[in-house]
Amino acid sequence: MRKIKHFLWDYKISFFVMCIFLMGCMKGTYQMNLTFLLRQITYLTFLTIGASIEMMSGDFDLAFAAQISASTVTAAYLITLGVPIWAACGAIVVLNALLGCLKGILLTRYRMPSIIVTLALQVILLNLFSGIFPEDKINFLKIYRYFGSGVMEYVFGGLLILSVLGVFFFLNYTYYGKYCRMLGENMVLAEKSGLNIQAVSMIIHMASSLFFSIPAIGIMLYTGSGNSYMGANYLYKVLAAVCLGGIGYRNGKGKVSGMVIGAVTMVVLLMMLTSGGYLKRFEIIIEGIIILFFLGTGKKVKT
Amino acid sequence: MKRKLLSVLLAATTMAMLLAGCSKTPSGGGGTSAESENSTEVEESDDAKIGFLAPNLQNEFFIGIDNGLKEGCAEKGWEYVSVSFDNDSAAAVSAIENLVTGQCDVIIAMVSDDSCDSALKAAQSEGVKIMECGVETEVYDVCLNTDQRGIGVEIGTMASDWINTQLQGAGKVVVYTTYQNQDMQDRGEGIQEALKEKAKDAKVLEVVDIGKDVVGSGTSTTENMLQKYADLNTIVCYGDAAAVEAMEAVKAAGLNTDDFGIFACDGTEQAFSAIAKNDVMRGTVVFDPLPPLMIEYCERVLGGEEFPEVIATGTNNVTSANIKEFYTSE
Repeated sequence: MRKIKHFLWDYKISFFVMCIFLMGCMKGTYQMNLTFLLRQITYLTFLTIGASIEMMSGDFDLAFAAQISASTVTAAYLITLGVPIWAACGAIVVLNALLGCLKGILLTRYRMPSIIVTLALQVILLNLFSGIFPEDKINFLKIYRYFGSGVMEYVFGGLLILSVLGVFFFLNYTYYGKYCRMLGENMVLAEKSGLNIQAVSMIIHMASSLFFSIPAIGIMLYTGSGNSYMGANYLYKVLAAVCLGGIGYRNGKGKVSGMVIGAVTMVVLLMMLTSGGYLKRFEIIIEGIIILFFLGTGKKVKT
Repeated sequence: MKRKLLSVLLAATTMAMLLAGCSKTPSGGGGTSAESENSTEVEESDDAKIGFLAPNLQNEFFIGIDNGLKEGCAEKGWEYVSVSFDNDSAAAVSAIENLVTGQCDVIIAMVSDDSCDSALKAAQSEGVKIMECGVETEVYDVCLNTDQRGIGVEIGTMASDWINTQLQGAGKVVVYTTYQNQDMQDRGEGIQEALKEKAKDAKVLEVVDIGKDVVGSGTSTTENMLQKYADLNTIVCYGDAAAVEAMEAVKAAGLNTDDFGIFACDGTEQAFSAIAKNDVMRGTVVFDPLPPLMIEYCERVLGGEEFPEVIATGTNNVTSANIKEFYTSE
């Protein structure tokens, strides 16, 4: 009972938001569509898990949204060249894994601040890929047409459940999970205690990138296109979800349940704001407030 | 203690925002129109909720449509919400889904291509009517569109007429287009086609991709073009936003003479004002006001009418000769 009380208190804002949404649904203000809800929750949860693992390892990632954009435009270009869909999806995974590796190296080998590294990567990725390809928006619907039948949403949903279980196991029952928290708490101390921080960081960032790849594939297939802005809007949503989930920055703290709850809360919150007629700028303001608030209170607890 | 206090404060702020959202209950009283899943008609269009999906709500053209729709819906007693997707198809898809969740009866989608077709189709299957505007894809209940190449030809024709009369055909032209958007690309091709055909002595110095709705791009590109081509005397642009920026750059360079001309499309307030003042902005193509048309077709589609064919929207060419018909400075 005490545990449940703690759990409810830890995520009070999230439960509060969800209650209002459910009340709205019962009242008839919102029309709940499970497929829409599932699709949005799935994508955001995958991204939140990836960003959360990175944050737990001490990396405040601002580049993952640009990774999605770069992946979709690359894969879409490959598809227009006649590359099979599965191979293009594979290219998304490989590209993200490479970018994850690069982040790990830059953060640990060159000891660059994560915000600067990921911000620079964001700018480079957004502009580089639109410069390399003939168009920064590539549409392949004429070659391959996928209409959301709902089946893919359930496949991705199933994949998400497996991923959540996998991350739970990784964080709680593997050495790398502990190393991840160690890196987040104090990278210098972790290195002095004999940890190969570069290898650990690369593995963590590669794993996180896998979680960024899955929504990138989903978005690309659903829209039948890729462009250099695609997914860019996920940046603040995901960071806010990470914060709502109670993931600690530079203290290695965080639970998988928090990641899922944070993502669900953000989806529900944004659904209510959009359908309530609030413009995107209000969404971004709320996301900004959430990030500032939770980072601020998290730091206070640590001191 | 402080943390708890802050939590309570944040919760209170969120609650205030959300309750405000919840209090905006659709006048349908619980969404009577959306309850019947396969219903294709809304029984009474008095109870409608209209959702406007805009590429952005930062430039004058879309803000104008948003304001017009807001007024039109208020007059009809309809509820109205608008949302922008900032040229991100992933955001557009989520926005469409959220508008359906918010029980919109009609979604006016100003999407840029068919990347949102899956989401629009899913919305249609929920009984929501889809009005496409400015683009034609496979999924719509009513589509208001214009021939973008034709608009380009109109812009090019205005520029050609001015080159032939004012410059005696000796035009040195730069065309601003973009390849990021098929419609704008078509418009750019129309401009070039008209210039080639109607201003035979004019020379197109360069065709520049200035990006889609990139704020500041008109200014920087114009500064570069003025440095590159000393004899440049005409800029023909796909849209007024960039054209107005180009105008400011030309004025800053001290070239705001009678022998410099800028032509574009959209009929924004700034463009009208410049034409009325006999500035270097010489002409713009203005669309017939879209919001009244959108409201009219919303009503008709809610009433059960079907529109398999694209509804063409009209345009007018506005220059100093007829500006008074369209604009009066306060």
